Amino acid sequence: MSHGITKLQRWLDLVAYLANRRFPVAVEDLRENIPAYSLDPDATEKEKESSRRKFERDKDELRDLGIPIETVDYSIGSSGEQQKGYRLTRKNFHLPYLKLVNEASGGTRAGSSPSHFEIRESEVEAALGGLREIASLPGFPLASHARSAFRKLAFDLEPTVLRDSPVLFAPDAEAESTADALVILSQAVRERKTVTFHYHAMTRDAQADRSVRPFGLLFQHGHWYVVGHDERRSAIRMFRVGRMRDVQRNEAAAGTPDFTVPDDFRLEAYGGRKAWELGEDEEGPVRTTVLFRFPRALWAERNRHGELVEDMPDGSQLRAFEVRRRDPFLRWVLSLAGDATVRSPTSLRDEFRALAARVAQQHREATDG
Amino acid sequence: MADGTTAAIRLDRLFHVLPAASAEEGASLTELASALETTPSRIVEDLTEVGARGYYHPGGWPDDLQIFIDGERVRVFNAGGFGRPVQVGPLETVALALGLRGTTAAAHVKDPEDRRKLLSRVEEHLAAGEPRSEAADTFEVHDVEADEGWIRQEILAAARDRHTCAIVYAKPGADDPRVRVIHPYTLVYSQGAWYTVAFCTRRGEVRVFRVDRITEACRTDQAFAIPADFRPEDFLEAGRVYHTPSGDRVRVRYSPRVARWIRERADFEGWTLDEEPGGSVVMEHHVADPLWVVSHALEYGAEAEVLEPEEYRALVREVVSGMLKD
Repeated sequence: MSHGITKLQRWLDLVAYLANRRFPVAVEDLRENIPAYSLDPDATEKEKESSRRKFERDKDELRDLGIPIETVDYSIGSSGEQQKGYRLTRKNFHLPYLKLVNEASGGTRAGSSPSHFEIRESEVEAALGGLREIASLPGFPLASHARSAFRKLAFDLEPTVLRDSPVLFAPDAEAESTADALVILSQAVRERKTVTFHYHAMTRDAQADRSVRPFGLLFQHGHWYVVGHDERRSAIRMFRVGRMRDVQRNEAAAGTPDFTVPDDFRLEAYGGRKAWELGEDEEGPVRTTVLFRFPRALWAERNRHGELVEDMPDGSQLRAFEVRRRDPFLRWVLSLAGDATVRSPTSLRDEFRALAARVAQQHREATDG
Repeated sequence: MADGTTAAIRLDRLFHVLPAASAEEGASLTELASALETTPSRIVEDLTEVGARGYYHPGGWPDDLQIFIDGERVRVFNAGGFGRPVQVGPLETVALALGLRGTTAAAHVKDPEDRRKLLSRVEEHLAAGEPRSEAADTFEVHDVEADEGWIRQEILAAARDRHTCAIVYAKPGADDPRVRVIHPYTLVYSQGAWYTVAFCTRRGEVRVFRVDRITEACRTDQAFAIPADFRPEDFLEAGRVYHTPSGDRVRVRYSPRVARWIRERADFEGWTLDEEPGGSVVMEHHVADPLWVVSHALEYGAEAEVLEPEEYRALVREVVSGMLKD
């Protein structure tokens, strides 16, 4: 009877049938009314089992897609006999009507109910604008989910509420080329599964296979990173996804986490770190001061580069940094193109001047030799 | 999966198409296709599957399910259990949690506690299944966090409301910060930095301003209009923002010690590099702001050398010599 019925058609029939029933439905009922599960009167045990498995698979897959099919025990007639059935209540299945409430009045929050949901314009802008921005993030692995959430939340709203966003995310070739790896990694992060990949460590120019327990995904400076426990080094490390090849998630023991994330792990602590804050020189960390000239001092203050040590009468500022790696720090100060100079300690100031002298010497030489 | 033909993708599309087409005026096939990033013909194929179910009337389908496809518009009558969108799914909730936490738009609800309450309300009333938004904690979007950037919020608000904005701009190498009145047309995020592409009333032309160099910003009540021919994409080249569509070509040599980083970027972006004997590489940059290429070269210390034109080499000499006089 079910020959030629596609999976989509089976799913449509199952959802339609359950969504139109107020009471739980037994498997036998589904067999009678949904062609894909129906059986001939003389069906063998094997055919019955096959039909049952098909329904179980469909139910589980639909649940994975977010369709809240409930399994419930209910009693039949006056006998009180208990039976297992399935239910898809409209309250849990359908989106309530979204109702925009007056911003000034703040709305009547208590008015949200199973049939409607009150939301302010500022909340709409935050939710829809946030979803639109997240979906635009180069390579974001949940972009399609962000877009579908946007469509749902925007369904009942007037087009005038859905203003175009004046924000544009420039396309990023690296982030976009890592989209497939990011999907694997984001699943592994959510399901707590170990991943393996081939990695190119640029600083050491070394390539090796890595096995990592991924604790989180971080997007910064236009790149995606995995932060996790590197089993080889037995320590938490950051890996740039664009430098990974052949990313694989552990498929063994599906549905069972491979690890737990330490309670004291905070993903946000790994965001915004500068090159000179990562790793450590042999000499150990050094506290250094840098003089930022006016108006660059305004920029340093506004972007919280270092800590303020002293405001100078001419508007310049002396700011302090904790430097773990000297070379990237000195190059960063150099890149400020004369708007900043290292003041202390003397050893670092001398290193900075020596670096500047080398660059000056290099640019004095003829380029054709 | 990528061709949009798996049952899951098609069901997800129908969960949007059927409610939209159940509206009194129906829905535009082109608009549906655009929203769902597919083609009108694919949507028609999906609807054909639904039509087949209505024809056979398996359990659950209303007897009078009707689908009208009239050229550009589609209308559905009696969609049964498919007349409303379905609730927000677990991964959609994760996306919303991230959108409410790590974006510029999130600042419309300024207090983080209010954002958390909004997410809780959405989970309680709009989301299917168990709350899952805590899974968003496994993502961090550092560059677009809302709390640090009130100046960006001010410019964003001015851009959204199309009101002019007074800014104080600390341009590198300048002696004083400059006060400008701009018409912020758009904000652009590129390679870890925010920019606004804006009409500068002083210059009388569209310019690009790096947001991290704007030290003060204040919206005014004066409205502006965006020219019909303005396209923010005109200010992008290979994902990078340019200050003007025109500019100089500057050749920079990178030593063997840093060349691998340049090659890595070139591989992604499709840049052309000249490989040199010994392992160094030379790249030609499209430069609108001379100080940009000076700063860029200095970031590599003595591992990068501006080769030509000569005036750019001279600029590096001048800048570095100034440092040695301190």
